Amino acid sequence: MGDTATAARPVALTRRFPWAATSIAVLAGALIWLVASYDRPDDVLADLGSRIRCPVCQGVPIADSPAPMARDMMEILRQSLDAGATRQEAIENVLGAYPGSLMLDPGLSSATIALWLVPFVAVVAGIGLAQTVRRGRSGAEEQLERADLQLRLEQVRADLDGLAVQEAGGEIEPEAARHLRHSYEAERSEAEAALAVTPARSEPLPRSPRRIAWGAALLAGALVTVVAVAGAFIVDRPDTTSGVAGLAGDAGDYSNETLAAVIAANLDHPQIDGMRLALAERYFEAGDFPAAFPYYLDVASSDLASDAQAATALTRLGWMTFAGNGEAETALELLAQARRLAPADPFPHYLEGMVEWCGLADFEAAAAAFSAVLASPELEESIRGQIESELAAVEAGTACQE
Amino acid sequence: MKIAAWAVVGLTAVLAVVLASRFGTDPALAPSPLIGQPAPSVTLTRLVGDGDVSLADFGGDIVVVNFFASWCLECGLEHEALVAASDSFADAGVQFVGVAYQDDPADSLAFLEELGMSPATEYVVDEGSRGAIAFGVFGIPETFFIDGEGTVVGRIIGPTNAQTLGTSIDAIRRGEDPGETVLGNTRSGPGDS
Repeated sequence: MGDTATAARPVALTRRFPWAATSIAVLAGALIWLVASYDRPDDVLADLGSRIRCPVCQGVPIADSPAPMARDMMEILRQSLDAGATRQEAIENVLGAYPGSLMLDPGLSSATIALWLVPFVAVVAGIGLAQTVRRGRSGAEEQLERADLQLRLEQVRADLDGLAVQEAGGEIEPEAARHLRHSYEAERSEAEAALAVTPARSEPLPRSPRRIAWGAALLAGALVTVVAVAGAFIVDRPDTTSGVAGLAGDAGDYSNETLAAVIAANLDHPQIDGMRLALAERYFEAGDFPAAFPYYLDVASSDLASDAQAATALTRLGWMTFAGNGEAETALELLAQARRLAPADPFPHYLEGMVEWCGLADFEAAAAAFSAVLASPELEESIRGQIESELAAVEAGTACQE
Repeated sequence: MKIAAWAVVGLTAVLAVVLASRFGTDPALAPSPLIGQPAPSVTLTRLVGDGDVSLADFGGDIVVVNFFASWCLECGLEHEALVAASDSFADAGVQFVGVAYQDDPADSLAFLEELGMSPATEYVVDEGSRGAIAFGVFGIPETFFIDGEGTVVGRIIGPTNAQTLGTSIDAIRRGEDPGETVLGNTRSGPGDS
């Protein structure tokens, strides 16, 4: 009795509470779904690794790439997941600094929409093309059938005409002629009926060579389009320049440090002395003789420097040697070298006069130098008055005031 | 039939435009999302000397981070310019950091000893490619510029030169962003030729 009561209970419960059965089923389903969809860490790692494209490979996921960079990315993924990061956070830790998408299953966006649409467009286009081809083929078959019927009709008409001639000439028995006519007329009616239901086409059958030519032209057009369009989008990486070309004339736009770096990195460049001179002049004009000195010295001793550049450097070196160190004799040697390299330039000679006067108190030599400078056609008029005054002072035996 | 043929040609042309347009977006040449963002907080072990170097240690300075390796031909081409720029900007609040990428430290050291090294540059080892991944490096050489506020403001792809380095730093000192410049080829790994 007790067993019977126990066995009957579940039936009674589910009948009395149908919602309970439903709930149990739903809960069981949810539990199964949860267990099935549970992300074990190793599975997540493998899944993410198979979805991230190795940035230094060609379309290979980092999980499958032997590249050290890919292995390092997998390791960062693993550490991120071990630390409790979500899938998105782990991906961000690896790809956060990379431009674009390195995911192998790119999401739908304006940049990727073409990728998603191409298969559908291709299928639709393929179906359309197949339809058109099929229609074209059936049209050609109909034309062939009609031509065949026309031929049969003409043949049976000719047979009837021939029969009439034979009858008129008594070449055939009347009974046989009647049978044949009946047969021919039945065949003619059949052909005429068939022709009536076979649509006539105004277009002649396409000629194969013409179609081939059209196809070839279209294919060539498509290929040319693809090549032309692709070529227009290919990005060329520029060649690295030496870093000095074109800079010498624009040195004013660059800092002293930039000029110094370019000079140091391009010591053998043919334009380097122009840059050295530009940087040295900056230091000279700022009164920073120690900074200017090595650059002038490099220009003065450079095989690549022009005579004008070397003369300028020697002139500055001469003046710095005198004004900075008081070494008049050395200064005069340097200025004399400058004058030999640029004989038309009156400036080295003028400085020689200044050193003779102010450094050696040699009034006679100073007066000769100033006179020669004043006679130079290259002398700028703006300083002529100053030099005339200095010559007058020298000739009067006045001591240098500097 | 002609309509269908023209449709095929038209479709091909459209596809060519759409797909070919992606040639212009080589990921390696695409703008870095780091530009305008705080520099990654990376700590790397010194290649020359002991201890670690953190980019955060150079707060207030302009930092130039260059990824190089001994197996990278282009890195050898740009090295002289980097040394020269590091030396000339050493007293101007600019810190150069050379990051040896996927390279045996012994090979990196030999590379530096052969081509020269700037005493003002911090040379470090990129263990586990952490620095390269943090900066989104596709290939080397690549050079990043970080301003005094710690923001990534510039990037050079390919072998750089003294002029580009100097003018980029000059721009940062004027408060301008040098942006991104492509100067040539990069190498993605030791086997990349």
